Amino acid sequence: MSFFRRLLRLAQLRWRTSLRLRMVAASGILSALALGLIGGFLSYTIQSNLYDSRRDEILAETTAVSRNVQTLFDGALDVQGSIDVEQANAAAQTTVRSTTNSPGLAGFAILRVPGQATEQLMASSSSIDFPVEIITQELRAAIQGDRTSVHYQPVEMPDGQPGIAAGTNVNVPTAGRYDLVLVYDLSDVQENLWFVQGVLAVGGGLFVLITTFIVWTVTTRSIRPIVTTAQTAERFAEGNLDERIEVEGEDIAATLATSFNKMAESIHTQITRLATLSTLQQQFVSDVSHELRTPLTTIKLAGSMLFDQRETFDPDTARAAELLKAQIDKFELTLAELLELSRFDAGAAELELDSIAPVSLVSSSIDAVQSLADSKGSAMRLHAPGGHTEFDLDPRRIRRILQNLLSNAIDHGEGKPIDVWVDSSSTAVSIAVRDYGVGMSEHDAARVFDRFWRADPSRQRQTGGTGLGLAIAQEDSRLHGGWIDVWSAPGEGACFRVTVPRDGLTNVVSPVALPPEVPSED
Amino acid sequence: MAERILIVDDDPGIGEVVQLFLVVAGFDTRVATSGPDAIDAFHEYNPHLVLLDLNLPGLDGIAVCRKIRETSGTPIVMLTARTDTQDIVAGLEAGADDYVEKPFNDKVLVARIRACMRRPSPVTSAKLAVSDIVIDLKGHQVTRGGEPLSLTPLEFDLLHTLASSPDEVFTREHLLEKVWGYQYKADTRLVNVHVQRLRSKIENDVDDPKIVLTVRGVGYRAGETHPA
Repeated sequence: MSFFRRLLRLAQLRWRTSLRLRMVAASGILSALALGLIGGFLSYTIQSNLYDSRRDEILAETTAVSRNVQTLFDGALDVQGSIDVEQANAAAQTTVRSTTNSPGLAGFAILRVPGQATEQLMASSSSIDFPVEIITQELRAAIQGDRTSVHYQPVEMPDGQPGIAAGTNVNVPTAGRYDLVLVYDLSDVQENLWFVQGVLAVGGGLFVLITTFIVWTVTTRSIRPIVTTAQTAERFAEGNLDERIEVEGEDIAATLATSFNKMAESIHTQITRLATLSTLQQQFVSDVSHELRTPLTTIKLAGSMLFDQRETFDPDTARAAELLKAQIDKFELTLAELLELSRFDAGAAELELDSIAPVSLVSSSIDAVQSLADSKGSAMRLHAPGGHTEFDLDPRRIRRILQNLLSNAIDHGEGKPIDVWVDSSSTAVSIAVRDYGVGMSEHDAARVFDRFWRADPSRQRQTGGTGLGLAIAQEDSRLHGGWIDVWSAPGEGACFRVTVPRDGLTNVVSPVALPPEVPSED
Repeated sequence: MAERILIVDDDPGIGEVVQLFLVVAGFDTRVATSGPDAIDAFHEYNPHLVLLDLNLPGLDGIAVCRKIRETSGTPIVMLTARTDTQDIVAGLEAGADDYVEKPFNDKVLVARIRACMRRPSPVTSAKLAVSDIVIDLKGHQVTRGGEPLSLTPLEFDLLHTLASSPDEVFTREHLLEKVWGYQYKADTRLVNVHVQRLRSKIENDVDDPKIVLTVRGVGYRAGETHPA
């Protein structure tokens, strides 16, 4: 059962997907229908003609026979006005035999019409094997109803073949009325009909086959350009931008091919141009960063010398040396981060995985910013229901993310406590950092990972970041297959949550809510 | 007599400013700005240490490094503007002792220079024997069957450090501290690359080391030692 269902489904699929199959099937069915109509009509006409002509022949013969037999009986009267019925009957039979010449005469009979009182009695007679049982009373009644014409009735012969029984009345002098009945076997007509029908069927079958084949061939030829185009487009879509169609001739198919090739060429050019631009741009950033490092070294060393000797300068120059050093340090940091980003862009960043408990990374990162937090008056509170088992992480990158999130939180936390959550599930680990500072609007929060993006002045940095930290943090998390998302509301602070899936899983759910439920004050 | 340092950098600004503070720090210096210049200056000036930029016109830093190593074990510290792994490893494999990334800090650079030039020679016993080689601490020489093996001072120190505590397994961090003088976490590739270089010079079969053995997951230790 299921096998047939599968077969059916396969056929349905093939039907839906093959244009050629549908066209061929449609033409096959339509031509078979047309042929059925024509064949039916032909067969009917031939049958009628054959039957009618044969019937007319039979009726004419029966008429001739009856006339001869009647003449014979009339002439058999002797001078005494009587008749030798035995002799007359035998002569009549001979006359019937000699008068009939059409094929298929299955026999004849001279049957006495019952219920007559006559001078003599001539017994009913028939030829040998006359199928008397097929002569119906209707026929005999019809014969006696109208004694001047020939009556007939289609009959079924004892062997099942079609036949015709035809008869008319004959008057035997002194012996009364008799039914002269002749039975004709029409099996030769039937055979002819079957032969014609057979020829029609075979011819029609051949015709359908040939039509189908022609349609198949024509369809194949005419949809070939479509198939080629479809296949080429498929390969093109898979990224083989060099795929083109060979153009043959000058017909509509050639136009299709030419247009497709033109389109492919144009797309190819665009993509190549964009790819080159992108590569050039990345290479440019990388080159610039590298090229800046050498002069920056000189500036830094010279600035450092000035800074070291600032006590020997007058106060204004000393201040200038301090500013110089501070800005050089910031420049250096920006350059380092720009270079780091260009490494991400170039796809050159690689994970160095280590098995480590996320909680230990979080603890050490909190320790690292503790003094900064103390100076701002922010208490650091760690909530770690999970994350105590080992994960495959790049500790350097995770520390860098945490460093960034924690120092941001302290920067913007306005001296209020900072909550840090760590939790894990069977699929992921998540770390969330929450401050209760000024917060951001939704619009600002959406842009917070953009490079060099600065929030509105109310979130002015005090420790001086580069504007690249969160962009790098986001890239670091992506390199782990994870992500960072953010929640914020003006006046309520902000919460950044980093989620890293286990073992390269995708579509994981973060085990920490955003923002997490704020614990009640103890 | 001040120790001589050859500064090789194609950027004259860097050459000059490094020279400035190295002189303040008490060194004698000379600057070369191209690869061929550097080779000439090296032979003529005979420095105690070379600061070598990797990106040089004429002959690049790696080639200069290799050229110097053909005849001398003078400490070489690379100045690199490229942090790409392969550049640093290529420099170390060419024979550089250490590297400093641009933009570097003057104090860090001076610390690295001093660490590279300070070669400890606390002679506890005159000679050590490991496997089939003999380390002559006084003569700063390593021999196999009387034939001297040419090692740079850094390689000698590395071998000496391992051989002087034959029962101890040294972690890479420990070696960075003892041999390179790093006080903080540094690049452990320095150790890996130099152990490979050392092995290629002293082991009979590099793939089956008998003198510097790897302790998987920990670090390195010396092979079988015995009194010479």
